[in-house]
Amino acid sequence: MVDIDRGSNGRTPRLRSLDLESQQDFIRGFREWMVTDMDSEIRVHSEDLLRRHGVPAEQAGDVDVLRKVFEPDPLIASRLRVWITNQRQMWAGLADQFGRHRAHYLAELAAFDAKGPGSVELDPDLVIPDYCRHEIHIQPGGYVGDEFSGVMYHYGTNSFYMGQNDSDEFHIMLAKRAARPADGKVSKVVDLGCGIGQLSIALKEQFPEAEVLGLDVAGPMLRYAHKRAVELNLDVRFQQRLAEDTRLESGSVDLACAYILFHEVPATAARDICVEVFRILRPGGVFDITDFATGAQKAAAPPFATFRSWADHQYNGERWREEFCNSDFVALLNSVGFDATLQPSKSAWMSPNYIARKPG
Amino acid sequence: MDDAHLSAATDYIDHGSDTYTFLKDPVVDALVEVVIELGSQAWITRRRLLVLERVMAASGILASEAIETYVPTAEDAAAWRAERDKMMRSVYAALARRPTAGAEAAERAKTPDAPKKPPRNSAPAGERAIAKGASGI
Repeated sequence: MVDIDRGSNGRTPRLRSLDLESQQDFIRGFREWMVTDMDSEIRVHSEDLLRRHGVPAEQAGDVDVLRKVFEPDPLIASRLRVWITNQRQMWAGLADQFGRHRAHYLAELAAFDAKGPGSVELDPDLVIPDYCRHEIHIQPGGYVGDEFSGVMYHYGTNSFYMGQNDSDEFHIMLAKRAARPADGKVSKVVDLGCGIGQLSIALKEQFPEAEVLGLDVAGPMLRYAHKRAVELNLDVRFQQRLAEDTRLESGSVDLACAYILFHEVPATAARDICVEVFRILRPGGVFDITDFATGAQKAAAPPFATFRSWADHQYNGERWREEFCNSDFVALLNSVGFDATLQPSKSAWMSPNYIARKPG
Repeated sequence: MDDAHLSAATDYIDHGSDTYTFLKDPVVDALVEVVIELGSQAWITRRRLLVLERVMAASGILASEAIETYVPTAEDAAAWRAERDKMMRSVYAALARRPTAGAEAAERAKTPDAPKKPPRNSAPAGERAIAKGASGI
């Protein structure tokens, strides 16, 4: 594969080889076919299977029952096979490119480390919990174990965001629809589990006068986040910290956001994070969370969606997804002092939105 | 580039996704992988041809006869053989994979003693040094 500067798609440099770009284009096309055409057939097929196996409606949400019926079925087994293959091919193509041109990409990251606006502050003494070390989405090395996890994640999620990634379109939409404190004052914003900082950047654009912090456990993700913020001339501070130990002053934050963070942490950490956010928010401050459905909403999912959620946990490195989805997240938020509600998703296809306000 | 800038200063839990088996026979899993990889390779080629034809047409070059009648040089032939062999490895690697217990790998990754791997694309541990603050990294 040739490696050259091929210009940009929106805010994002094009992949540096036409073949790799085409491979990733195939992966996106295949995924879109899989979740539309293939899944629409499988949904009908799965309902039929449950009928033929005599599974009563009250057991159709029990993942152990669903597994017994679905796993031996050739069509559903094929669905799992092609999904994981598609996922693995995506990572393999990117890992090959970044691995073979390692020096170039490392130099590119290093060139931005000390530049402003904004900053990236890594903490070599941070004790990274084991729960963070999984290969989430089977991304090789996960978020913490690969120097290129940031750039890998960015291009790897193109197939997930279906055309809303190159210019951070999806994250800009999230930021525009972020909850505000009742008094409207937003001078300090924290993006927890910020990853490559797409939401942090969008929040800075939405609240240009506010101080915006992006916190994450993964140093490589933060370095890439900072590089992107510098390229966009946005003053965002990225810090390598745990969401359950932000080291921020009590009552100092107006708006905290966590986008798809909670299903990546165990229940104990989820509770610790909620307690920590309650501490750092000022009275009247708001915690805006986008994450998977939990509690009664999760229980109401159709059978194949319930099975797919389990499969995501089992095979796609989503170690804590089932634990989170089987919890009652609104109840957890309320239990630490928030006034929490479940809101509709901010987009047609994304997860629900939890809004938690600190009384004040 | 100074490797001391590296920040992936931890190991990770390998989920062994290359060993998953979903179908009755791991060889059938491998065949499905082959089919999808072939689709990918076919689309990569077709997309390149689409680009090529558009560029040639835009450049005023009448391409079709020249393409049909082109005789590869010795250098062309060697380079294309290397490309072909690379494609063979990429498409058919799954067929050469030993059938292993993928479910065991996935289960093992969830346990406290999950096998860990050193960081990818990183420097040896002794060479890593990360300073705090933007100016130091």
